[in-house]
Amino acid sequence: MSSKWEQLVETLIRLSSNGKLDWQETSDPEIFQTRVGSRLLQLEWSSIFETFTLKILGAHGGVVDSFDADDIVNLGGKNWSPEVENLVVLIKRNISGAEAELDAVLDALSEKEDPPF
Amino acid sequence: MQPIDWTTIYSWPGYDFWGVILSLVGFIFSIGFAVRASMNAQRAAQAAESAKRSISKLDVITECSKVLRLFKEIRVRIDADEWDRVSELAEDVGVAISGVSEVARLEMSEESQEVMSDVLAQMIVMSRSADKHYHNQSKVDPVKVKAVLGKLSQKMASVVGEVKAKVEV
Repeated sequence: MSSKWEQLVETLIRLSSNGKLDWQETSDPEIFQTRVGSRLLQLEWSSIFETFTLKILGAHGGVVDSFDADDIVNLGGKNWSPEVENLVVLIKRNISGAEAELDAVLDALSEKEDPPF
Repeated sequence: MQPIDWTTIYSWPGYDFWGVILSLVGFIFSIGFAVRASMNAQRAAQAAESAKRSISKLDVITECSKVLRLFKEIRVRIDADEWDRVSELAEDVGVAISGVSEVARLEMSEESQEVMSDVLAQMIVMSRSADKHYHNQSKVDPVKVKAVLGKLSQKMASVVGEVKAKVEV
C-alpha cells in the first residue's frame, strides 16, 4: 500500500512539474484539487505542521482513500513532505499565472538572444 | 327456400384451393395486426421514455438553477461576514447536486458531470473552511472564496445552458 501511495505522490509531482495536471484552487488556501479521469484528487498542505494529506474522491464527492505523509513513513516509505511543499509552491504559481508569465518572458528573451539567421 | 347442401359445397373441387387462400389471407391479416400492435406499443414506450428524459432534463435545470441561486446567497453571506450561514449554504449546494438523479445525469455530457462533481468537492471544502473560520480556527480570504464561487458559477451556468439546449421545445 505504501509503495502505491508513494508511486501516486511521485507521479503527481512529475506530471505537475511537466504541466500535465491542471490543479484548481479551493476556498481553503491550503487545499488544491485536480481531476484524474472520473476521480478527483485533493491535496491538503499544512503549513503549520509542514505535512500533507492526499485524498482520492469518488464520482459523488465521497472520500475513497486518504493518506498523509506520516502514513507513508510509518509503512517504511520516505518522507515526501519537502517535495510536496515544492509541488504546492508550483501549484500556487501555476494558479496565479506566474509560471506561464515567466515562461512567456523567457521565450521572448530567448527570441531576442538568438539571431534569425 | 332450399336448405344449404353442405356436402355439395365441401365436395366442390375449388373448395380446398380457396380454403387455403382464405387461410393465408387470414394469416397475413393476423400478422399485420400483430405488427401494428407492436409498433403502437413501441411508439408508446418511446413517448414515455421521451417524457421521462424531458423530466430528467428539467430536473437538472431546476437543481443547477437552484445551485446558482445558492451561490449568489453565499456571496451575500460572505459580504455580511456570516460564515456559519456560508457553511450551511455550501452544504445545501451539495444536497442540491446530490439530488440530481442518476437518470438525469445521463442527460449531461461527461464534461458537465465532471463540473457537478468538481462543485460538490469544492462545496465540501468551502463548508469546512467556513465552519473552521466561524469557530476561529483558521482565517479565510473572502475575496479568494468569492473568486472560487465566480469560477464555479460560470461552470454551472454552462451546464444549465447545455441541458437547456437539449430540451425539446
